[in-house]
Amino acid sequence: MPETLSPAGGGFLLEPGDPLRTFSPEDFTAEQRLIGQTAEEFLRNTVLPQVPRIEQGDHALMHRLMQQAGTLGLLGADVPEVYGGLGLPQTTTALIAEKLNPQQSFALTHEAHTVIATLPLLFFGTHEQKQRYLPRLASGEWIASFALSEAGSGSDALALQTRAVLSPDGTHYRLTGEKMWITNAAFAQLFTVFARVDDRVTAFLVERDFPGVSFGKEEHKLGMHGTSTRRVILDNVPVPVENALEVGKGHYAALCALNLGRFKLEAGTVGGLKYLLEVCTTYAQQRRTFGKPIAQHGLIQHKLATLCAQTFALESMIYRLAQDLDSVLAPIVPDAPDAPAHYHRAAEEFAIECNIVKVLGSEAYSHAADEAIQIHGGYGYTEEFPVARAWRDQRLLRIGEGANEIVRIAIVNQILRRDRAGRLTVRDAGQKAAQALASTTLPASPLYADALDVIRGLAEDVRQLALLLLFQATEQPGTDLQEMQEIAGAIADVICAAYALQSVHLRCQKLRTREHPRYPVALLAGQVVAQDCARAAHTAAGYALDSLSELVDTIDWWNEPFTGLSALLDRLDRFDESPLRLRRELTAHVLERGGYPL
Amino acid sequence: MKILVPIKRVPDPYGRVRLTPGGHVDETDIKWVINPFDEIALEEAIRLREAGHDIEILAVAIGTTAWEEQLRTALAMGADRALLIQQEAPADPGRISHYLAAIARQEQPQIILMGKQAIDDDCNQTGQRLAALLQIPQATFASRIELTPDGTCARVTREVDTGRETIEVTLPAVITADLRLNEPRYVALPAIIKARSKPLLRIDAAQLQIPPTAPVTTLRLETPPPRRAGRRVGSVDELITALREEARVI
Ligand SMILES: Cc1cc2nc3c(=O)[nH]c(=O)nc-3n(C[C@H](O)[C@H](O)[C@H](O)COP(=O)(O)OP(=O)(O)OC[C@H]3O[C@@H](n4cnc5c(N)ncnc54)[C@H](O)[C@@H]3O)c2cc1C
Repeated sequence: MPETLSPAGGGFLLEPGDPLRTFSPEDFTAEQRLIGQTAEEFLRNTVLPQVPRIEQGDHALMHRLMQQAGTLGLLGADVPEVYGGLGLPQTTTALIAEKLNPQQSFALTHEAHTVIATLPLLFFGTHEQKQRYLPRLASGEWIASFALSEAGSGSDALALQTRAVLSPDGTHYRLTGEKMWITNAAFAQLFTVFARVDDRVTAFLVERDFPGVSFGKEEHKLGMHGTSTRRVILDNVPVPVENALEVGKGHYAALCALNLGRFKLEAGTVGGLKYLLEVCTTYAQQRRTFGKPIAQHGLIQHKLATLCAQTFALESMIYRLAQDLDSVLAPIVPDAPDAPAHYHRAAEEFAIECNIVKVLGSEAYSHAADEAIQIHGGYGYTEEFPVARAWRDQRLLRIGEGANEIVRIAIVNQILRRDRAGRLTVRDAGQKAAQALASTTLPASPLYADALDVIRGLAEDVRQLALLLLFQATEQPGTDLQEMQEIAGAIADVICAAYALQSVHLRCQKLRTREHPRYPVALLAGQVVAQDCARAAHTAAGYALDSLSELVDTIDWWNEPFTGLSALLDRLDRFDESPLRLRRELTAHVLERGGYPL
Repeated sequence: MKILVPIKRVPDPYGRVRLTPGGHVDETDIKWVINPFDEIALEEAIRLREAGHDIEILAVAIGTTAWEEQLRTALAMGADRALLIQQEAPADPGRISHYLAAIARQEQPQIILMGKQAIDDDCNQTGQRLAALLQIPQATFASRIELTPDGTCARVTREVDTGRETIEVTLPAVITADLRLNEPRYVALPAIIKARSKPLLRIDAAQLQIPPTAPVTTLRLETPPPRRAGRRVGSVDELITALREEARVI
């Protein structure tokens, strides 16, 4: 069983972590690589040749591709063996998501089915319910949909209006309501529908053929043209009581599935970023202007390096998190009567980290897709290259499965809730950080042993800064983070930077200890990430602190007793290493490899 | 019936192979795969079994323990068991055919179905040498294989310079696979998991006591010169002149 590195979710805020016990792609077994290869070859040889038809919204074709994926076992990876699946670890299922991502419509169809539609049943279903439906979902005989959102409730999902009323004889519920933006609606046989029983949200397994189920027309979308997105209309649909998942636990079922969904979508993003980097590298080496390939122009090199560094950062976070998720999910006996309670706890444990990768991954994808168009110039604005489509498609990821605003706020709220429950003592740690900063004068440019030590130092600085902010923002009377979302959002950005930096440091440190041949490239990518994350943390912290001090005018952050703070902030914004040189060196590896060099 | 399929580990044909400053193959970024022609041979063995013949498939590799990764892949594709003949130094077709002959004498397969060549050194010798050592028929460059109902003969369509040729060989025989024989399947995930429990045996190459062979010595490795940019020609005449006078190929 893999060991968890952090003591628990959010634990990265309290300790720097243990490099040798942190999973990264370098640790894949031969079997995992082979599984990844099957997913990759299926995508390349079976899915990608169909892109024109997928993009025309040929849902029958999409359905067939899903069934083919099912025969290869690509739909059963998350389903335990007792229910006809393969019960593979998250480190492997993340790799599958990564390999399938370059066709984003297919990837979303796959994710909606295997993760958000299937997991409420796996997590909260009874043994009988799981026996009845999971084998069909794992094989692809049936495709499933997750039906939570409604026209009036997306972010505020639990304000949903769909009602479920128990029949007088107690044999079934009658569901009435309208679900909006439901992925896979065109061909799904099973809908995980969230409805209100009295006032308690409950998840129901609704079969397509139940009387009273009907559908709206396909939404006309910005991107993801290959996915089916429709309204699902429920008109007094009779649903047997055996098809209700734990009554009153529906909101947990939704949130638990969405935690894993956010993680899995962004595992996909790792693959999307690698694909874009490869496409851009190839193009930049072929396209010539002013007598040389555009890959030789500094500003294009800067873009390629950024893309590469962001890929490295996200990949380091995703696989570290995958291992953490495995540490809590793997011990669960899926067909035990108390499985739901265990799944519930496990799927919530790393919600903070799932939310962090959701924000950073989707925003890195947006940035990358935008720059990919820029690198392709006018051609990028046409359909001749896959970058315009990638740009349209990825845009969903900042909205779907929790809009990033909601997710940022959730990061801070979840941390503080854990703190109040005594499970994550961040405010204590924050107070200590504040005291340390007040009583010492920090050197503005500390002595680092070497380049890796700089990454370590910055990771620790940003972590301390996050703790300090969490403490100060909740310590001062007069600041209510729920009312001051801007400050909470800025603090979330510092926390995200801390997680990214720490994950990258752990991976680089491990590769060095193991004398891994890719360590030099990893170090370069790590250095670029470190500078970018430190700067981002600096900016966000400045926003939070300046806003806070106006609210609480007794505080002057930049004077006694906070003298250490400005020194800390300065360290996050001034570097000895030239960003230009680091990026050029990293780009040289990208060009040499024709894409992601790690 | 037993089919023996030799498996070689080679660099991914779609990847780039680079040399270290010392002139060795730089293995840092190499993705290792089963030699594509061996994969085709294995696929064909599986298809013969799926066509209803009672066949046991044995995959054999001659190399370091790292090669077990490719043997596991072969098991996941559908081989029943695998054998690693462990030896450190890279071997040439002469030695390899001796090792395979030794295994064939032990295992007595009816067919040795193998790639026509490996995409790394492109030797195209092992199958022929093996048939000679075992003194059994050979059918190289197969693009189609049919077994007679009684299982004593194979009818093989070969890709030869003049087109296609169909021959019948009495079994046991060596058959080498050409590109068009089939398209190997995806390795399904359940099969990958199942392969965990299939037998993979290691034996020390020294145990096989093969006779000494004339050694092949590698003098030097070099990467091909970078391809020069192409040029558009205006007419057929210009093309002919260029081919004759610049490229000197006609
Ligand atoms: C292609 C596609 C596929 C989808 N698939 C599914 C599916 O399969 N199943 C399903 O159930 N749903 C699905 N959805 C719905 C999706 O989950 C919602 O669109 C999403 O949750 C956002 O909800 P909304 O659209 O109502 O936006 P709103 O909630 O109206 O939000 C609008 C904006 O306001 C912000 N905002 C809202 N509340 C707050 C707040 N408290 N604080 C700060 N900012 C706030 C949001 O961040 C956003 O920027 C899909 C959507 C799309 C576009």
